[in-house]
Amino acid sequence: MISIKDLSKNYGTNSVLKHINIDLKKGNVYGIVGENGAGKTTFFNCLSGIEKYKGKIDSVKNLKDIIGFLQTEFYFFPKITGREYIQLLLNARDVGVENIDQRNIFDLPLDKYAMNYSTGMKKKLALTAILLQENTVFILDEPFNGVDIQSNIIITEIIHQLKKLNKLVIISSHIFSTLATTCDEIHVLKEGSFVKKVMKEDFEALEDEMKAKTLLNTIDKLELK
Amino acid sequence: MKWYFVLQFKMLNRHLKDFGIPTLLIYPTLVSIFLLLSNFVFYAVGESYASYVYLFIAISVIIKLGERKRNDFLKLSFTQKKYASIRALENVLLATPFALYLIYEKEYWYIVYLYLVGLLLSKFTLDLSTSYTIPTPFGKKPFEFSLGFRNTFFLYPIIYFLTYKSIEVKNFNLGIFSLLLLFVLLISYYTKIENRYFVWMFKYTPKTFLIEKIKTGVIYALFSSAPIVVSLGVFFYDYIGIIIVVQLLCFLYLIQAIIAKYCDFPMQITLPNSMIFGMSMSFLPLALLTFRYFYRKSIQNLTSVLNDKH
Repeated sequence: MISIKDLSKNYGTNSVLKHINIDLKKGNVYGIVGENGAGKTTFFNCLSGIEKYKGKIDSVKNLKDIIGFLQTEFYFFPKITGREYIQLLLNARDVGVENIDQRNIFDLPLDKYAMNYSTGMKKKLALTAILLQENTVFILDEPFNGVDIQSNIIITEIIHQLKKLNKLVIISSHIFSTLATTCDEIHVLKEGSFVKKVMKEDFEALEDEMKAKTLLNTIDKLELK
Repeated sequence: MKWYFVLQFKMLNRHLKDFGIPTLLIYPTLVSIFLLLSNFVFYAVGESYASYVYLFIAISVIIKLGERKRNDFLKLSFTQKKYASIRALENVLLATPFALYLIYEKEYWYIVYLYLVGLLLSKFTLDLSTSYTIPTPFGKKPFEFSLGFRNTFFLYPIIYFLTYKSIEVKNFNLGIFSLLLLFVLLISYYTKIENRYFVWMFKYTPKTFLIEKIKTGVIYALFSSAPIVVSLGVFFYDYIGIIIVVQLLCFLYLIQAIIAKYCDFPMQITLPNSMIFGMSMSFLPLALLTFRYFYRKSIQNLTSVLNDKH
């Protein structure tokens, strides 16, 4: 459904993404892992069309209009209620939803200002809004961060449902277990390039490898006293 | 503590630079704007109450430094003694420009009140965010109007009261003034630029995006101004022509403001473009020229976000 060829992104002389090539198919869930600063968020911004880039993304016409993008750092207007936020996102895509309350599965206080929500509630609101937009492609940048265990279970189930509905889902997460239970394949992003593609059967080995690399002498450097 | 104030100064300069003011002109521009506004307050309110109003404005500005989250951060970062000194010094510094203008107006007692209240306020923190949701009639198409209404709802009764007063004292000019005031308020809803995401998410072309914004703006402005226009039309029927012309002009400026909003997108409108907008508001024929200028610039900027490049 989406074919990314030779995608690069520079900020001045700083090269954040380097010659990315990847094919993303409908009905699949892709995980993107990488250290902070590896380029995950920039990759999502380019894929969604929010940021300019070099290279080519082949897909359906008007791809951006069928993408639901859950940003890792989302912005809420100071005095917008949860209900109005959802309505704004629905209006943006010309989607009519009769009963928002009935579809408020996270029991959010929709008539309160979104700005006063907790971090987890804000994430759940943003996720609800993009789900109600009836998108075909979902980019979920850190969907599990800051939400409670119960909601983590619900989000995992939602991702399974999206896969069944033949949607394309791309997720990034720092919690490996959440990726292991939802993804069909995981791509490792390092210093702006995809360095490895791991299929489901090798997830465990990938996790062990990442743990070993991360912990190697790292904590000793802190010289904790 | 010195480092804190140096940092604040640097941050202020960055904000002003982002607004498009050249570094050398930053402070002369700020002083000029401050003097103009102060002068306007004394001119518009009249001698008897001007100092009260001016003091009230100064305190409203100072009070914002007492915002809870900011103060929680300061309390966590500094010792109790340093925190108290910072708060007191901040309030004194912010009160000083107002005090200097009050010297010019020879209102010496108000200077004493101003510093006393400023120092007193440094002892308090205020939770300015409210959990109470102000109902809005503009919730169906949320954004500029619903948010703007919640921030300025208290001004609506004042504006409508001015219309009522104009009818009571048979002063048509006052009625027209209330209509103009309403549109200045509505135009102010379009002065803050939204995050790029909230433009990107629309499935419209740049042209349709602007048309939809204009449609929403015009419908809601029609709804807000209807009580004024209808009342003036009924009670000042002889001036119906003027009322219609003023109303049409107001809509023209509102549409211009909606279009101009995105002329520097994704950045906030810069000072040169704000000045062009301001000038076109004061000289109608110029508005017809700048209309095209703002439209082309906004379309150009929106294209990079709204047009699908895939």
